[in-house]
Amino acid sequence: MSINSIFKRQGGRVHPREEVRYDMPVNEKNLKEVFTDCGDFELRRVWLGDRQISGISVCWLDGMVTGTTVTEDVIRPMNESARLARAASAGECMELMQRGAVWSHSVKLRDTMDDVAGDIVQGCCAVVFDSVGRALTFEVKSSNTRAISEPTVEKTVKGSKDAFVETLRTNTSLVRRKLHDPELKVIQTTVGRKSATQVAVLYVNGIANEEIIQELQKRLDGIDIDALTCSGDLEQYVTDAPRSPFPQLMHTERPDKFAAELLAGRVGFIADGLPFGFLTPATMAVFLRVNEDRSQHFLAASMPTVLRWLSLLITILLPASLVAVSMYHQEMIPFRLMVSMIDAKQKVPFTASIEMLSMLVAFELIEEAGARLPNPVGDTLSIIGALIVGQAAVEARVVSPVAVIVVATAGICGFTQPSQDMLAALRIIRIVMVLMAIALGMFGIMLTLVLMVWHLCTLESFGVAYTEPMSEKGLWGSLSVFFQFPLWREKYRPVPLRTYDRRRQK
Amino acid sequence: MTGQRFFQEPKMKKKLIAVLIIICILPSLAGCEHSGTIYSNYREVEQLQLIRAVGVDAEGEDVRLTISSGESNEGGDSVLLSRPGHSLATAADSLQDYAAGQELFYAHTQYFLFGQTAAEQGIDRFLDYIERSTTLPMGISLMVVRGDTAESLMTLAGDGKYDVGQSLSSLKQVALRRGDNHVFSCADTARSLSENGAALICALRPAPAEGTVFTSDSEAQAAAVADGFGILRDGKLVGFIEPDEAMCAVIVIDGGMSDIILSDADGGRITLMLEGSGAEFTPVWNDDGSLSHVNADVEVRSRLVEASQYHDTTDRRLLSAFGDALARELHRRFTNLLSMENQFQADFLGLGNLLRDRDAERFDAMPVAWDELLGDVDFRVNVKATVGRTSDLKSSVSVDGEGEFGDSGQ
Repeated sequence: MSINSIFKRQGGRVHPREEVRYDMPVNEKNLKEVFTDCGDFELRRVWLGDRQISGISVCWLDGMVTGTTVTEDVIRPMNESARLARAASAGECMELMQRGAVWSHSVKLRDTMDDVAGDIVQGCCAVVFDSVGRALTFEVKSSNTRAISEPTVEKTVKGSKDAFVETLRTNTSLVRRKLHDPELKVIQTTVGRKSATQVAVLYVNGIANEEIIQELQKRLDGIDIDALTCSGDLEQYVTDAPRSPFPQLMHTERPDKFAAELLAGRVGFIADGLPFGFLTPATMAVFLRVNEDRSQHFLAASMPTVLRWLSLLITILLPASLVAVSMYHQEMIPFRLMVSMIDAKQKVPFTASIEMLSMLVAFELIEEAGARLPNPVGDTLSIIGALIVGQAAVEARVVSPVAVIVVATAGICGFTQPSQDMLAALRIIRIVMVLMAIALGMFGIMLTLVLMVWHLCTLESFGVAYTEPMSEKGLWGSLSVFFQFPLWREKYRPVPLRTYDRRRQK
Repeated sequence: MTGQRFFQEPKMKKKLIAVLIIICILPSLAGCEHSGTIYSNYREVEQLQLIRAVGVDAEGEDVRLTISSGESNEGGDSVLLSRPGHSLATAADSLQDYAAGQELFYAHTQYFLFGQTAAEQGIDRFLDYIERSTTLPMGISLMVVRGDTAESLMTLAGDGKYDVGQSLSSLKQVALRRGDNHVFSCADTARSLSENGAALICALRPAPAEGTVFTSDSEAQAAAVADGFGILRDGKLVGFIEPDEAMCAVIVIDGGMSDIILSDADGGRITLMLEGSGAEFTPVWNDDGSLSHVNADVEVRSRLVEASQYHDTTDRRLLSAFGDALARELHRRFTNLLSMENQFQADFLGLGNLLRDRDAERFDAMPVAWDELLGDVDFRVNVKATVGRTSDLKSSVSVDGEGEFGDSGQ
């Protein structure tokens, strides 16, 4: 889909203007005007054979195309082709080039300046015929992109080692290599007025629900921004409830996981320039699953899943619970623990609330500093922060050891979450919980929990309840959240995804 | 939607207001004291002085409250304070004045001790106090100090480094493991008083530590040791059960297991350990529906653990003789125990409920109610005892001997 068509389509609805962007005839002069002050714009007049047919020029953006390909596949045939040399006019010449006289694998006939400019910025080489007022564009994109490498975040022991890169076509091909099926559909659209970023929607025809596909396409088409430069540019416009801290789009850098989710009935989309794919609908349970669970024995896979859920509760509840019981509900603390806590707190000058809040802030600071610095330095900083500063703080009686242990335990439990987006949400909730515990004690924690569950129950992702399959009738759905059942027992695709083809195996 | 527009949307506005109202109203429904604020509960842990044991003594019409703190905090001593007051509440307030800036915290109180005089005057008012208290737990263990005051025992059993709570904690665990006594909670006692009109309470006495070799520098002057049970009737202490009979009471309550020392035929001593025991009470009815007598069938299984002289323990007749001796001894003890039910007219074992469970229809139709019958109930005790052994140095033969003794055959 060209920029022009996007502008026209979105004109009445999203964009304030309907008119085309460059309303001018296609010729060399106008093209130069469009790319005025673009230092990487290259234009070269060429002859056909040994005679000059006036007004044929080849233009491209340096760095966006492969020079050799332009030379070998476009300019050289134009000079050496006997057929082209015999052409009587520029129009005939253009006809011949379109039909194969030029050896490029991809050719498009363009008759508006918007289309020509759009193709050039996407990495095409345009041959402009002034006398015809049209141009041919050949795809000669530069191949200086990052090679396929191992996943950096979603590492695996037993899974495949390839990960998405920043090039859309490479990514779609990676998925295609997992699903050799023409039913895997790839629908492309463009997002961003200035960036004109290609976004591909992928789904398996016959499995994915048509309503979800259409809704996703509608939301993608509705994005009216300058440029798509980061994942947030998509996530915050596509999700149902962007104000919610909870993630509502799955993303993965692993093509095998992407393909597996497409087969489960989800719809995916990949944006050019982002080294991961998005999947929807997303429920809370999927953020606590890792693809490797399916590679492990079902019993071995169930234990970490249960642990992740347990960790989720610990990470949001533990610091708040300590604050609540040490400020308001001391009778809930076992006697011996209470004695230890009193001993540890005896010479600490701060109240439990200030101590816990400062510890949480310190923890967030260490984490943030570790993330911002280069890897070796970041790791060192984390160790120094956690060990040396923590130890020194305890010895100096600035904080009590119990608070350090609780904050560290909550932090470690948070790191067990496979999804960084979910972890970010839990960190926010953890602090809210502590504030509520300071204000209202255990009652505040319960109140926050109730509001959180209420909020979770109101969330939907493309028509699927966020709490699925826990909100399904019966115990089976809830159990499937915590336990990995043997794969031969999973005969059907997830019910909430409303897939057309429900059976996934005999 | 921008933030401003979000709040301008009527639907969002309503939602937000609803949530705020809920947040504001809910704290008032929390059931906390002081008209819906929970801030009255706020305190920092380091300001608290944990109280582990509370003792109550009678001082005329007043009470004396003695408190002992928990294990000593780092570098500090355990606290033992005692103050009189017109009531428990005023005595507690008075103690607070002497607490050196710390808040006395009673929520972790584990033991509530009564001096004998206070218990004789009645403990029901104190049970009421515990029930009404928002801090004292109902699971608190109740004990009575036999022949002495709670203050005295708490003073003797603590030495500044160790407190009476540790001594009582040890006593409770040992009693549970050894099976010769039982420490009842406030809830247990209140329930028993309510259902049976009587209850048992663990009795203690301070045992002087003379002759005891201590391994630490700190030496307590005395240890608290169990000394049978106190019998409560209508909330007042009316008597005591001696340790011998207390063991039988434990058998009735939860199948106790303890050691018992007997004399053998040659005048030597043998020690048997009860491995399992149980007592069953069966009412026997007259033709007119009145209670004829109550059969108490006791069955114990024991193991020979020690003998003052060598015996051929593969000899079944010898083990049977031990069994007979054990049955005879237990018969004596059970007879004494059950006679106390009549003597004090207090159903502290809850026999009424046990008999009613056997035949509720006939029990309820008795011409004379159980409460009135107490004092004149004919208990017939039958004991069946098995004595075995685990191994023998000379052979690996396993032999059991059985003995019986009872009123039915007499």
